[in-house]
Amino acid sequence: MTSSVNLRRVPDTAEHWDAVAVALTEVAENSFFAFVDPVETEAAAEFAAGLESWLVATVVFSGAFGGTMKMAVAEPLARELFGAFLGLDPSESPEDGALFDLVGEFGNMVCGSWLTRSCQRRRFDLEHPVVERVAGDAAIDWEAVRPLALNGQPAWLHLEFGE
Amino acid sequence: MSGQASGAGAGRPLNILIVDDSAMMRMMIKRVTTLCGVPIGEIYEAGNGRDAIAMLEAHKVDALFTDINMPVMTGTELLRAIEQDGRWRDLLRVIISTDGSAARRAEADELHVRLYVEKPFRPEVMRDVLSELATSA
Repeated sequence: MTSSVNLRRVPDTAEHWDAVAVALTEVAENSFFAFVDPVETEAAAEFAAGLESWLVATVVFSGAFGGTMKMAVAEPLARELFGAFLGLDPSESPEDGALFDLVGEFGNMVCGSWLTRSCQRRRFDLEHPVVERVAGDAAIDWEAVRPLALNGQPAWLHLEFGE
Repeated sequence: MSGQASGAGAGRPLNILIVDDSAMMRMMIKRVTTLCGVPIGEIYEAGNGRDAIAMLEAHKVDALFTDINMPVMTGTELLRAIEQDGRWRDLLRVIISTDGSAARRAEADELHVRLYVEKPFRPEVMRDVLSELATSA
């Protein structure tokens, strides 16, 4: 389990941040029957307090512009989404491999939906998502991420543009 | 007749091959497919294009549902291989991908992809896709 999350602040890319949050909302609603609400930056740390662990999906993208998208969900939320995605009983607890696969696919869908709109006619490529478990008390720079509530549970997004 | 598209026709259930590197996505597509009311025969699965070709060689498959971004052999590479192999001329080809860009769609057209489904999709989209494939098989 990783004990910290290394995040770099990005320049003014508000349009992309908004677009990726919209993509997450659509994917959550359409694939997981889940609802997204904004969380104020100032309230994010308190909202996530007491969380045991995050599952963080990292998707590297390239094409018209390149970079990395990170999407983190509270682990109990990920387990809830697993049941919703596959129509399973919520009491069924998936193995780590299946859970990580699902969170990776969630991140993949968010990134792909966002880039489909943002790149329009231009081609882009996504690398296979990497998913890791991060301690709930890991230091997160809430100013550098977009905190969200997904079905009333903590989640966040981060974009980094570069190579 | 192994290794050939079987041509469902006349209401015979469609045999389907689902190709996606996410086992959870394959499971979800499989579940939606079996719930949508269109007669389905066998459902085969593969995690990449190379394994998909092995499945096509071993089984009668009417319709292929493939992702694009996959390790080992991508969906685009798989579709090119199918295009170059006369055994699968009649195989109905559907892309299911998060990448819905115009560039990808144009590439899909060149590879005789019949339908293009963007992830995420609602279950009724898959029902419509299967209904269309069933009437044209």
